[in-house]
Amino acid sequence: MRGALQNRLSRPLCGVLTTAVVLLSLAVGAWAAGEDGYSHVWQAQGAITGDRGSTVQSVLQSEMTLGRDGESFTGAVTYRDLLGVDSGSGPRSQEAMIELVLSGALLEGGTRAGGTFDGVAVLTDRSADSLEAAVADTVPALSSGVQTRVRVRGHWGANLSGDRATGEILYESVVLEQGPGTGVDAQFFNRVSESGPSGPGDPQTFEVVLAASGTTPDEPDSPVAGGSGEPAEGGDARSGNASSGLTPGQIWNYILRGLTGSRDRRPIGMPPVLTDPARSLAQATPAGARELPAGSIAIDRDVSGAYLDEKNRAAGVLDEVGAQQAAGDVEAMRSLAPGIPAPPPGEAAQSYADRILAALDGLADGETELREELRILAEAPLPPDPTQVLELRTLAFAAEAVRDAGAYGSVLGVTAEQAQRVADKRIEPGPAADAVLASALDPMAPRDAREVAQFEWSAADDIEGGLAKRPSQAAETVSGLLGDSGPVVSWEGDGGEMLTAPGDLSAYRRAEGTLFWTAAPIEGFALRDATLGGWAFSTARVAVVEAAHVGRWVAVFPASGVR
Amino acid sequence: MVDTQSATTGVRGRRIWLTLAIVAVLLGGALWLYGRGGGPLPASWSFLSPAEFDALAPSGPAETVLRTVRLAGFERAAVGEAGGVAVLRLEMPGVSSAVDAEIGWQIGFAALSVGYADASEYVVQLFEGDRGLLEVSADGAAAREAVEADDPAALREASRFTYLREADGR
Repeated sequence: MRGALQNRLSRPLCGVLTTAVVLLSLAVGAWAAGEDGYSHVWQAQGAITGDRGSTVQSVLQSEMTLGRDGESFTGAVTYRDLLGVDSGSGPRSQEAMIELVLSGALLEGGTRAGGTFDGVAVLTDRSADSLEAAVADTVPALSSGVQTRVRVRGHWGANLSGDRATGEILYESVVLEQGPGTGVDAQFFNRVSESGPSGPGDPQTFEVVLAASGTTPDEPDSPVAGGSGEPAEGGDARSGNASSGLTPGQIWNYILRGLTGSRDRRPIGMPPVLTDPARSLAQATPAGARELPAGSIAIDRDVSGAYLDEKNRAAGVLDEVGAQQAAGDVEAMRSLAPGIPAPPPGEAAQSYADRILAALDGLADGETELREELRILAEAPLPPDPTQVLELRTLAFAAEAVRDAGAYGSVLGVTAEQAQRVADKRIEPGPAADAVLASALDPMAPRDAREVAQFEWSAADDIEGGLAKRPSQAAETVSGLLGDSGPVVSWEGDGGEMLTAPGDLSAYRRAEGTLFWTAAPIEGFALRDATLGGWAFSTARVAVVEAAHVGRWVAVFPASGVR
Repeated sequence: MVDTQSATTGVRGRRIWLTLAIVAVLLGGALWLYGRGGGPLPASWSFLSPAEFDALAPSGPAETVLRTVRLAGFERAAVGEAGGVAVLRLEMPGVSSAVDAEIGWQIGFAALSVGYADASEYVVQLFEGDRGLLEVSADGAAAREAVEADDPAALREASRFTYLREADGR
C-alpha cells in the first residue's frame, strides 16, 4: 500500500523532473559552448628558446565564436595577452590585443569550412625589470609603452565534426595604421614554421562549438568599428535563417535571449566624431523637458544615420516625388516669414533680447525663467560673447515661432505621407539592399558590398529602374578638400588622431545618385557623398569612408568645404 | 471502502491534470521565450518581438520616425515611447527664422503620428546642438487629427509649449 502510494506520488513528479532534466541538459550544452577559444603562439615563443633566450606568456582573454547559418559562417575572435621576452638585451613586455571578424562558407563535402577574416591588432612594447614583471597584470597600468596598431587580414579553415569546429587562422596581410610597426608583418602574427624561417609561417589554431549565426550573445564589436555595440533597433520580421539543424545549445541560447529580451549586439561602426554629439543630444537633460523614455533609439548612437539613409534609398523613398512636394511646401512656408533687418553691430544681443520679450505672451511654460535669464544677461558687466548672441537669436526665433504658430502654412500632410511610405515600402533584394546590409555591418551582406577594392564606374553594376540616370560624365574631378592649401582630413580614430591628405580627387556618380570619390593617394580611404535628400534643411555633407567597408564613415564634413 | 477508492481516484486524476498543466506551462513558456529570442519561426509570430536583428525587415515605430526625419534633413534625433507617450528629440540643423522652428515640430508630430499611431500623447523637443530650445506636446488623438487634416492651426490649439533651459539653470 505504501509502495503504491509512493508510486502514485512519484508519477506526477516524473513529468516535472523530466522537463527539468531536459532543460538542464540544454543549459549544460550552452555552458559547454563557452569553453572553446583561440590560441596564439608568437614567433618569439618558437624562436627564442634555449641559448637564444626565454619567453613567458600570460593570456588575459581569449574568446571565439563561430556561427553557422546554412552554408554561411560568421565568427569573431577577441584575444589579449602579455608576452615577456628576454633574448639577452634585457627583458621586454609585449601586450597584444587582437580582434578579428570571420566570414566564410561550407566547403565541398560538407565536413570543412573556410573563409577570410579581417581585424585589428594593437601591440604595446614596454621595457620590464624581469620576465615575471613583463607579464604581470599591472603592466598595462604602469607604463603606456610604444603602441603599434595594424589592420590584419587572412584566411581561416576548419574541420567540422558534429557541432564542433577545429581550425586554423593564417595571417596574410598586415597594414600599419599607427605607430612604428618595425618588423610587424604577417609572419609576425603566425607561428614559427616547422619547415624553416622563410614563408608566412604556420597558422594559429582554434577550437569552438558552432552556434547558429546571430546567436552569440557576447559577440564582440567589429574590430575596426570601435563602436559601442549598443543594441540597434530592428524590424519586426524574421530573417528566416537557421531553419534546420538546431542544436540544443542553440535552442537554449534563443530561450535565454528571450528571457533577457536583449537584442543582438551589432556594432554601428561610427567614429567618435559622430557618436559623441549623438550621445550629448540623447543624454541632455534641460530643465523643463520630459525625459527620453528608457530604450530610446538615437541616430549615430544606436543606429547609424548611414544605415537609415541606405534603407531609405533602397526602399525608393529618397527620390520620391513626395519629397519634392515637401520641399516645395517648406520653401512656401519660409517665403511667408517676414524678413527682419539685421541688428546694428554692438546691439545684437539687446535687439534679440527685446524680440524675445516682445514675443512672450503667456503662451508657453517657462516664460518666467526665460525672463529671469534675460534679466541676468542684461545686468552682466561685460557685453555678451558671440555665442550668447547666437543663443539669444535662436531663442528669439523660438519665442516668435510659439507666438506665430500655424500662421505660415503646413508640412504636416506631406511629412505624414512620406512617413507612411517609409513604413510601407518593402526593400527588394538587389544591390541597394546589399548596401543596407553593408551599412548595418550585417554578415549577410555580400563580401563585395562590404569591400570595394576599386572605385570605378561600372554600368553593369548600376541599379536599374526608379529615377536612375546615367551620368553625362563618367568621372568628375575636384581640386581639393576644405580649402586651397594643404587639404588635410583629420578625425579621431580608435587609436587617436588620424590624418590623410588627399590631393586631386576624381569621382563618379553611380546611376542611383550616389557619388563615389576615388580613393585618396593614401590607400584605404575614399570620399563619399553623404548628401541627405532632405527637404526641410540643406545638409549636404561629404564623408570620408574606409574603402574596404562601404558606409563605414570615418569623418564627415560640410559639403561647402568641397569645390 | 467505495468512498475511499473514489477519493483516491479523484486525487490521482487531479495530480495527473496538475502535472500536465505544469509541463504545459513549462513547455509553453520555453517556446514563448524561444520565439521572443529570435528562433527560426514564421514571420507571423512577430508579435513576440524577437531579439534578432534584421536590417532589411520593415521598420518598427522608432526606425520609421528616424528614417522620416532623416529624409527631411535632420542628421541627429532620438525617439522612444513609454506608457503611451512618444517622445522625439530633434537637433535642428540651423534655425535661421521662426518658421524653421515650426517646420521642425510639424515634421516631428507628423512622423510620430505615423510611427506611433496609437500613442496617447506626443512630445517633440527641439534642440540646437545639445542645447534645448523648445518642447511641444499634444494629446495623441488631437495631434493625429490635425496631421490628417493638414491643419497647423488645429495642432497649435492642441499643443502645449515649454521653453527649455540648461540643467544648471543657465
